Amino acid sequence: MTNVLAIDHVGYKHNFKTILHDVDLTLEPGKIVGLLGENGAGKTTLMRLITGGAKGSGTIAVCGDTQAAHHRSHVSFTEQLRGFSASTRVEQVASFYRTVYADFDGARFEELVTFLQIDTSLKIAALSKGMKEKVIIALTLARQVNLYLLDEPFSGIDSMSRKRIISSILKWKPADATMVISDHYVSEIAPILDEVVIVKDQTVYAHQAADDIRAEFGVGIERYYESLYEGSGQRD
Amino acid sequence: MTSFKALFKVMSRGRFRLMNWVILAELAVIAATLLWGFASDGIEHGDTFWVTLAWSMVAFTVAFILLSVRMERVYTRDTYRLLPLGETKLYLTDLLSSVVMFVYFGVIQCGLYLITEAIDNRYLMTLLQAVGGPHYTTGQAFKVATGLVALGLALLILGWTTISLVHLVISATNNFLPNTSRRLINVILYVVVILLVIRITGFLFHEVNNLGQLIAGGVTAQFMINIGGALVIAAIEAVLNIVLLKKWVETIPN
Repeated sequence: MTNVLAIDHVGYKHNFKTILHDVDLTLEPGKIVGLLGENGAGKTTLMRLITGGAKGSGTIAVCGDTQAAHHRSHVSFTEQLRGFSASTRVEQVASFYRTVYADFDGARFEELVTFLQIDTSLKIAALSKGMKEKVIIALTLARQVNLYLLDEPFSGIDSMSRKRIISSILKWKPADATMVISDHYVSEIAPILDEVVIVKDQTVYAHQAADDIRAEFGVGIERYYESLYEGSGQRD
Repeated sequence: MTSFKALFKVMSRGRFRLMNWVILAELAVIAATLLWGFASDGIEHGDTFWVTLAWSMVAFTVAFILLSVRMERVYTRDTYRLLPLGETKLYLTDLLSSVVMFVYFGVIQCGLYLITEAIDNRYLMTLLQAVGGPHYTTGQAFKVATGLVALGLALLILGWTTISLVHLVISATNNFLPNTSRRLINVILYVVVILLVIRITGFLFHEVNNLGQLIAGGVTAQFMINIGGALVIAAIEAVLNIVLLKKWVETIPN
């Protein structure tokens, strides 16, 4: 079976500062993966390298494709809608997505809009931080792709909505697609994770199956994650 | 993969709306100026034409700047850079969509001139006839008009490829140079831009001079060669821009 993601010796520097180096990572289809790490660890950079938004060294293959232009047809990323002016309405943003992405499922988007209680007539400027994140989640999940990259998708969303979205995320993910979620709310997303990838010391420090963590270390994912920063964890 | 048609449609939609806002604002300002003139001193023969022409020049500048901003935004925003397509298609569609919208804007302006010419009872034609000089055949007039349009389009494209080149070089260098070097490079680039603007302005004046000779019936070949030269420079800049987009220019992070 082709890996949905294969990263080989990837590195990235910004202004002469190494952000990531020698990153190797492979992800299989059909998983929900937690991408964890402290602020500035390089989680967002890793996602941007996968999408081609950042330019690094090494090889990244998404569904076997190593060309960035081809990657992008397999990847749906929570982009912050910066290409739209503040006066653009949510329905116009959806229309943009419908036009440019052949894999955008309009019916699914409508379902997500209802589920997340989004008012599509609102302008981007009128959206609260949490509501904007909901719009971004709806747009990202409405695409039918192999790899979803959700970069801190729940920031600004109230805890009730957050729990509701997390608990229903399986419903929105195609069975053979892989979803990578970077988040600080480790305890909340832990129950749905199949695997955990921890970015630390400018590289992928650990990559473990969630069940193995529980069986091998006898602790929950949050405790395991914290233990790596306390120096008691073991490297993959 | 995103098709050219789909990309052109989404890129043009917003720019079309933008151009219409500029036209509406222009019409409002023209109307206000004429009303003010009417209320204070009254309007004389030719006032409508000159007021329209003056505000049209301002509107052309505003339209150029707004389209430039739209174009440059595409290169560093995930909204566009994450689309499943190559950088060549993205760049060329972006440029083409702006050129088409600027042409649309220009056609509307020509329409406005024709309306004011009618309102002003053929003021411009009367003025041109009074200036004197040879009377042109339809063929000669067509040649001059074609020369003007070709010059305008060549300079428009060259202007946009140059702006993009400067923007993309700055974006690319900002990613890997330390802060001190970045400031130095930015200063150097700003100097280069100023020099380029002076050079292009010089070229423009030279071509306007050539246009006068074109009207008089000479230097057609030289005029067309110069326009071709501008387009060749624009093509080289476009290739450099695409390479920069492919290799070095990153999007603004989340």
